[in-house]
Amino acid sequence: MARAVSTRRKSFNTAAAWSVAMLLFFPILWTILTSFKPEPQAVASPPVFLGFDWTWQNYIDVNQQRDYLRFFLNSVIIAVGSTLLGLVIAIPAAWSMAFVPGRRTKDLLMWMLSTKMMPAVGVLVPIYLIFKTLGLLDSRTGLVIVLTLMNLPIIVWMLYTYFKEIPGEILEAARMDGAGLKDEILYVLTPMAVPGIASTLLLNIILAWNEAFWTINLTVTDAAPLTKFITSFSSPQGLFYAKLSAASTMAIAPILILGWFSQKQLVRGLTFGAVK
Amino acid sequence: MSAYWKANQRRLAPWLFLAPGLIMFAVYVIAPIFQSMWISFYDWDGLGEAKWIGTANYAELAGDPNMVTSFKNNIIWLALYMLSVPAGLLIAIFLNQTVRGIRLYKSLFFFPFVISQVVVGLIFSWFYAPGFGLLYKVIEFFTGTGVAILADPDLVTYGIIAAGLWPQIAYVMILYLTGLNNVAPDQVEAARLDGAKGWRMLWYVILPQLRPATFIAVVVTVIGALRSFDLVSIMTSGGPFGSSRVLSYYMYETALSEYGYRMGYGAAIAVVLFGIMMVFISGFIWKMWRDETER
Repeated sequence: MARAVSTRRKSFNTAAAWSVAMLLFFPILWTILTSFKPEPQAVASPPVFLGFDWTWQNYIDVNQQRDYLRFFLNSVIIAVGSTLLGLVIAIPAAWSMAFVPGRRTKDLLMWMLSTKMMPAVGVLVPIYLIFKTLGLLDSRTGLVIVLTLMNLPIIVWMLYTYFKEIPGEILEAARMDGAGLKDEILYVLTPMAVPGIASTLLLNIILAWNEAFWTINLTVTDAAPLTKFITSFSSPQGLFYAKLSAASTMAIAPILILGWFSQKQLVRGLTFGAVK
Repeated sequence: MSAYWKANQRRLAPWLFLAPGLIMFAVYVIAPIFQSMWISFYDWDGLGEAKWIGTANYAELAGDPNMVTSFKNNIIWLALYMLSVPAGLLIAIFLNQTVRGIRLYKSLFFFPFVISQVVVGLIFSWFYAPGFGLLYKVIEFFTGTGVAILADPDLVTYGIIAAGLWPQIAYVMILYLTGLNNVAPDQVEAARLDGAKGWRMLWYVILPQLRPATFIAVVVTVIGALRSFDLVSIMTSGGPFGSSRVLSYYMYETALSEYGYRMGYGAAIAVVLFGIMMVFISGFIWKMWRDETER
């Protein structure tokens, strides 16, 4: 008897939990569905849920009219570029902080992290002016630099928390065996830190991919990534909703796929390693 | 040179390694903050001669009705955004049970958070769209008349915040779900044996163990609310009639949009926002610093 109740209760919980989950996921699902609708059905009233004439046309149109691929490439270059550059700068810095800590190391870390919380508009005018002077407006190089800087505190912080977990004795043992500084970092630390570095990499690619404030304000066309691509679509003159959905779906698909495979690492990154 | 390096590399390396990061940081992040403050004392269009006008920009800000609207909206953002913390906690507790297909459904929660705010803004714009938008239809169904939320000066800010709450609640919920994994089962069991359940269990046994998650949730929520820009920019561009502006958007409008290139005035707005955020940030950092040094 008790068993029957608990089974029923479990089914109820499962159903309720799934309903909440579907509700939260629904806006994304709706966007994906809309991207397969012909334009008139996308704005039909009452809305059509599944019984519409499925079509690939929106995807074809978006690719032909708006040069999706160029924006996509810009997104990839900017996201990957800024992440790699960030790692190159951050790995040595995090090594210093984790293994050769000074009295002020903690303060330095906190201070770096605090700048990540600041409003980006606080530095928009000066950065805009610097970029104008250097001719970096609307250039991929400029965006890579700016996004590297914006995410550097997070990269350093995350690497630091991962490096901290590696016992310093192992590095010392390598040192005893005569490993130089370069060997120590390249052949001992880095292989052990690969999971941490990979998580940091993933999180940053996603952060940079989604970054809208700087990409929208500092680009016009040449270096514009997908965020800009979607915004340029968002002033709908006429019936554009299905195409816009197709564009959005294409912009978020890489992130959804990446996110699916790296949830654990992402959670740790998103919580600044404070919650494991 | 090389001999010196060989002999001293262990001592020098930490400094050398920190240097690139710190230098880039100083040049592109720290310096611009002070530059913003400096520019805020000038009248400048970004091209011609900058004219020193002292605190005139700030005096103008004090009497600027747009500034009042933006400031008020930021407060509303902050207040309503905080709802995502209890909401996320409740959903997380509810979901933290053995349910079939747990991996897949956790991902469903995960997705809203990893997608760009630009897309979030777009999706909600359609949901509010008069005539065919889903939320418009729902409101029409319940009240009899549809409301064009994004075109209504009194409702627009709430509409945008609702869009922002969607990924924010998902984020907080993920934080708590992760935190709940670490709640010590023996403590819960012991409390159960002592007769604790329901609210008392939550309040005295579970919540104290979730403190790190709560802290991070509050930090990201406060920061997210005060920095809000993307959604306003995508959904309404501050409209209608500037009623959905927030400080960061108003700053962008004055300094860099077609409404004018008043760099000095924009910088002054940025400094005000910066000052407000510094209060929160220093509080957070102070707490983190204390926790870290205690460890």
